[in-house]
This record gives sequence, structure tokens and C-alpha cells, in this order.
Amino acid sequence: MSIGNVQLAVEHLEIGYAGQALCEPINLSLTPGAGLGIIGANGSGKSSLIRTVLGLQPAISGTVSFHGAALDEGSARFRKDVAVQVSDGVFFEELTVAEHLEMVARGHGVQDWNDAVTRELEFFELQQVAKQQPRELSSGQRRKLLLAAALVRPARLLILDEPEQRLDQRIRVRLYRRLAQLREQSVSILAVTHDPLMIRDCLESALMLHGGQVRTVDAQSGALWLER
Amino acid sequence: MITRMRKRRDRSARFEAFSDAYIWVLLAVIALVYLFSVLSGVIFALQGGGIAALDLPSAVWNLQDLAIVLIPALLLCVFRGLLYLGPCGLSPDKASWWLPLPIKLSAVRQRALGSAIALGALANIFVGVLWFVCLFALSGGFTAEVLLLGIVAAAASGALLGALAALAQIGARQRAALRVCQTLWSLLLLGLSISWSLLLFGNRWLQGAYGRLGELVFEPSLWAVACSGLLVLAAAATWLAFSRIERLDANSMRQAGQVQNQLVGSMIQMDLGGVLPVPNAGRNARTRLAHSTLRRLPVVLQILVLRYLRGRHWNGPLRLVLTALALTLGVRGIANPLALTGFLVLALCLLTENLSQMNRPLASQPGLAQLLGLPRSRLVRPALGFTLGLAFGGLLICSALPAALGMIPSANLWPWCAGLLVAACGITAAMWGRATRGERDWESLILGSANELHTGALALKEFGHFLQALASGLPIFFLLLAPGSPVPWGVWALSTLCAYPGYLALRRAGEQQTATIS
Repeated sequence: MSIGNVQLAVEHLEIGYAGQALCEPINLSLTPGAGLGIIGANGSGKSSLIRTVLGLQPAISGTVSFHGAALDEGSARFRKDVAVQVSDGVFFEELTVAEHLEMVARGHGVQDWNDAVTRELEFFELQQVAKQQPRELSSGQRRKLLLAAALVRPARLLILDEPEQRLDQRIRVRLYRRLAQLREQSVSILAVTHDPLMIRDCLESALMLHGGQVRTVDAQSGALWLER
Repeated sequence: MITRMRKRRDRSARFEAFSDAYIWVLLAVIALVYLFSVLSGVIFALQGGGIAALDLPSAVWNLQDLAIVLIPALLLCVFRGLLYLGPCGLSPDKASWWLPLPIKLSAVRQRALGSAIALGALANIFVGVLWFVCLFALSGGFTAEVLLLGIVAAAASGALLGALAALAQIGARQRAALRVCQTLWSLLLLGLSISWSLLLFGNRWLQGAYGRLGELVFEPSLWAVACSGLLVLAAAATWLAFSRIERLDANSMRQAGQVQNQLVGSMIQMDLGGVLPVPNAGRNARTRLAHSTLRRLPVVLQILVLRYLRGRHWNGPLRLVLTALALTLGVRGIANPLALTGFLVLALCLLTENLSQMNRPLASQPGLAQLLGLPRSRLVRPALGFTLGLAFGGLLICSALPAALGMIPSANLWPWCAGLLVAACGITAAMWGRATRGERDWESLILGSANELHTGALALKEFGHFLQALASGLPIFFLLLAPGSPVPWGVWALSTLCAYPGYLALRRAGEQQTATIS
């Protein structure tokens, strides 16, 4: 792995609140097509790691770089290359489900956005609610909308926070298959998850945050640890 | 069991409940005092404050005549409000614990009904006192007996409305009741239009009837009869509601409790945006067609236009313009520069509030930029530019009325346009400040303020944005009130100073955007 090939590099990153580190310093790097899961018990710092990497939460120390430059969430390149699903979702009250996807696709310059939107609506089984507003959806449907918004646009890196939450098993399996296909197309994935199936099906390794320690394990070991 | 639990509450819990009620009553009294001043100011402005008004042939009413018409309109508003609130509700925390219990919920239901009737009576007393303030200010006379009987009548009619709303809730007929309200409202407007037309053609009987009504309002015996009738009706409706209360659906109480909770939360934060209904989008052909036309716009502008149209943010300013138009054309003495200045003052405040509501999600929720995959700067500039355009357009429409009445001489046309542009910049700056402000708990802030000075400082901080918008409109107010003299440079300087942050924000957002893209 050459340094020039690294998309995302995290070096000696200390995460936490009010100067209190949640775990030991973290190092990780993602090359095109890589798939890294972040696993650990509740409160171990998984989501904080994602938020710190994205610049939504200040780091205690350490650096995060994207394509060799310091990560800037506002930079056009970062926005163009990275699709993010980290929150439970904020939506425009007046826009419908289909319109949300259309805005994201058009905002990212997708030429055949109409097809792209239809494809995502079908994939996540949202056709029936395409003309409804997000407040009328169930929590699972809102989660699907957020995932669809992350996938309707082109991206080179996907950052996901527990994408399996509130999804039924059928959609989960289908989503993991899709993520695996995306990795084959050189899209890299960084995902917090509690689902061993996700680790096995679409990721190649896992960063385990446990008891303040950080360890990188292969997908099989990570899945077994989650099943324990 | 619930009654026993209530009786067992310790002294601190009882005191807390009492202090909560005390605070709300105190706030209502304070609001009444302030509204008294505001209403006096409004009436003073409407009457022209000594400035000569244009004598329009279409102006057939006096302000005092309209005060009488206000009675049914206000009663309809209170009834609609009660229907919106339930009115019999159970707060979400109590609903979660009490409703699933396998016990008889009579105590809970009766208490909710009692609160609903009391709420109706208190709300109507509040509105009634304000109405009497208007009436006495307009007529210049004051009769204590009439005021006292009027308040009793207001309380009785409020209790009647509360009981009727509760009956509608018990029978799950709230939608039907709302439709009746809407029909009555339309009939009222129709009646006003017909009477305006008849008066315009010099119908003497109607002129006499308005005159007699104006005199009857100050007749204590009439109020005594009204009180008796209303008390009997209120007692009958209350008895009927209590006898049927056992049929009240628990879910209906739970939902009403949620609405009431939401309203209280919005009032505490002084942000009524949270309780306004979000209209359905994309369901009909007209909005779909509008959307297909809007697709030619950039994404951010498209979102803003859709928010503006579907969020019905145009509705408030449009209603204000229509009301001002109707009052100016229909009521004697209102076609005066002071009243029209007041109309522009209201328009500036309304545009600031409306546009800040439209921009609030974009301004205060970074997650939306994340969802769209756009840097925040790419949202800010179109938002500010769009708002500036809307504010300028809105003010231009508002200018049509004084222009049509000849209050903007042709010599003042360019200074007026420059004034509108400065005011639009001021609205943009004030709107953005208001849209990005944090949430506040006004209940604790007011309780925590040490003295009146502190409370005043808090109010200034909250309403400073409106003052900024108003100050930026000073040149147009000046041109309206003193059309013969040029606007002093000091006025231009002050208004430009207040509008400058709007221009600066627009420029900064543009610089950020250029830096980000390069």
C-alpha cells in the first residue's frame, strides 16, 4: 500500500470529551475498495470516532487526512468523494421522500438523476411512500431514506453509523450485498456496526474498541466477537 | 386511586403546581398590560393621530362599527383554538402512566373537562378585556358597569365554548366543528361585504342599525340580559359535557395533551413555528407542476422556493396586505400616512419573522447540508440572496397601497426605491440573526431575571432583530410621514448601519463559497 493510494488516514487520534480520552490513540488508513468496521460495546467511542473523523467533534490530539491533506468537511473534494450517514436524520419538512433524493442526486451532478432516484426507491422499497414527507414515515423508513440519500450519489468513501439499525433482515442482507459490490468498484467503506453479518458480508477487517484499548482484527474474528 | 394519589402529593409538589398556575396568570396580566399599550398605539395610528386622512368614497364604516363585528370573529377564534387544543387533554407523562392502568378514569376525565372549561373562560376574558380596551379607546367613554358585565359575559361565553368544544371532542366531531367554524367565518365575511355594498349605495336602514348598535353596546341592561342568557347556556352545556364525559376516548386525551404540551413549549421558547401545521407536499397536480417548473433552478434555490411555497410563508404577508387594503378602503379615517406607516412597520416585522422561519432549518441545522452533500457556504449565499429578493418584492407590493393613494409623490420615487432596498437588506440581516438564534427557555429566563432592567435586556436581545429591521426602514417611514422634506442624512446613516450586516453576510458567504470551490 503506497501512501499516495491512501484515501483516509487517521494518525494517533485521541477521541473524547473535555480532554478525557475514551480510548488509546487510534491509527487507521483506508485505501480504495477497503472495508473497515468499527465495533465495540456501547459507550466505547465508536460514534465519537466517526464524528471526530468527520470534524463534527474536536479531537484531543492527532490528525485526520483525506487524500494527503488535512480533512476539511467544507472542502468541495471531501463533499464530492464522501457520502455520510451518521445521524438519525434531519430532513426538510416540506420536501417529499423522492424530492429529498432528487435534490441530493442533482446537487452531486448525477445526469440521469430520475433513474437514480427510481432505482434507490425500488432498492429500499420506498416507492409507496415516495410522495410522503419524512415526518409521515416510520423510523425504519426514515433510516432507509438516509441510506438511499448516501447511495443515490456517486462517492469514493462511505461513512456509515450503524446502518443496520431499524432495518428488517431482508433489506439488511440486500444492503450488505450492495455495499460489497460497491467495494468491488473501489468505493471504500468505514462503518460502525453491531451486526456480525455486516462484518462478514461486506467488510474485510474491524477496528475493535474495548476497555479503552484499540485492536484491528480480521472480519471473521470481529464477527465472532460480536456474536459472543 | 388517582384521587388518593393526588391527595398524597407532598407540600412541595402542591406548591410547584400552584406556582406554575401563578406564573401563567402573572404572564397573562403582564401581556394584558403590554397589549393595552400596543392597542392604544394601534388605535392612535389608525385614527391618524391628528394628521388629515383622505376622504375615500368607499370608506363607509367607522372604527367603532367594526369593533362590534369583532365580537363574533373573536369568539370564532377562541372556539377554533379550543378545538385545536383538544380541549380535554392529558399531559404525555401522565398519559403514559395513568391510561394503561385498569382503573376507572373518571377523575382524570372530569379534571380534564374542568380545565378545558376554565381555559375557555379565561381565554375569553383575556380577549374580552382587550376588546373593551379597543371599544373604550375608540369611543372615548368608560362605563365600569358595562365593563364588569362584559367580563362576566365573556367568562360565560368562554365556558360555553369550552363545553361545546369538549362535546365535539367526546363525539369525535372536531373536524365537523372546524368546518362549521370555517363556514361561519365565511358567512361573517360575506355579511360584511354585503353590508359594505349596501352602505356604499346609501342604505338608510343599515346606517340606522349600525348607529343603534353603537349605542346599545354602552347599555348595561343589554349586557345584563346577555349575561343571563349566556350563563344559562353555559350551565346547560357544562352539565351536558359532564354527563357525557365517560365516553371521551383515552387516545383523544393523549393526543390533545401532546398538542397542549407542544404549544406550551413553543410559548416558552417564543417560537410558534413549532405548532403551525406542515402542509402536505407533492400530493396534487398543481404542486407537482410547480415542482417540474422549478427543476430548472439550482438545487438550493429550488429547496428554498419549495419551502416558501409549501410552507405557506407567503400567506401571512398576503393576509396583512389584504387586511390593510380592506381597512383603508372600507373604514373612514384610515387612509392617513400614520396608519400606512403602521402597516409598513407591521410588514417589516412580519417579513422578518416569516423569512427567518423559512431559513431556520438551513441556518441552524448543519445536518441538512450534510444530507445534501453541500458545504454550508453553498447554502448560505443563495438563502441570503433569495431572502433579499423576497423582502424587496414584498416591500414593493406593500408600497402599492400608499402609491395608489398618492402618498408617494413622483419626486420621491427614487429615494423610496433606495429606502426599500436598504430595508430589504435590513430584513435580510435581521432575519438571519433570528434564524440562527439558539433555543431559549423563557419561563426560566424570566423567573431568573433579577430586576426589570434585566428582563428588559432579555427582551431587547430577543426582539433586537425586529428593531434592526425597523431601523433599516426609517427612510421609507420618513418619506411617508413627511413627503415634502428630504430624508436627513442621519436617518439614511442609521438605516444603512442596520442594513449593512445583511450586505456583509451576503458578501462573506460569497467569498467562502469561492474559496471552497477553488
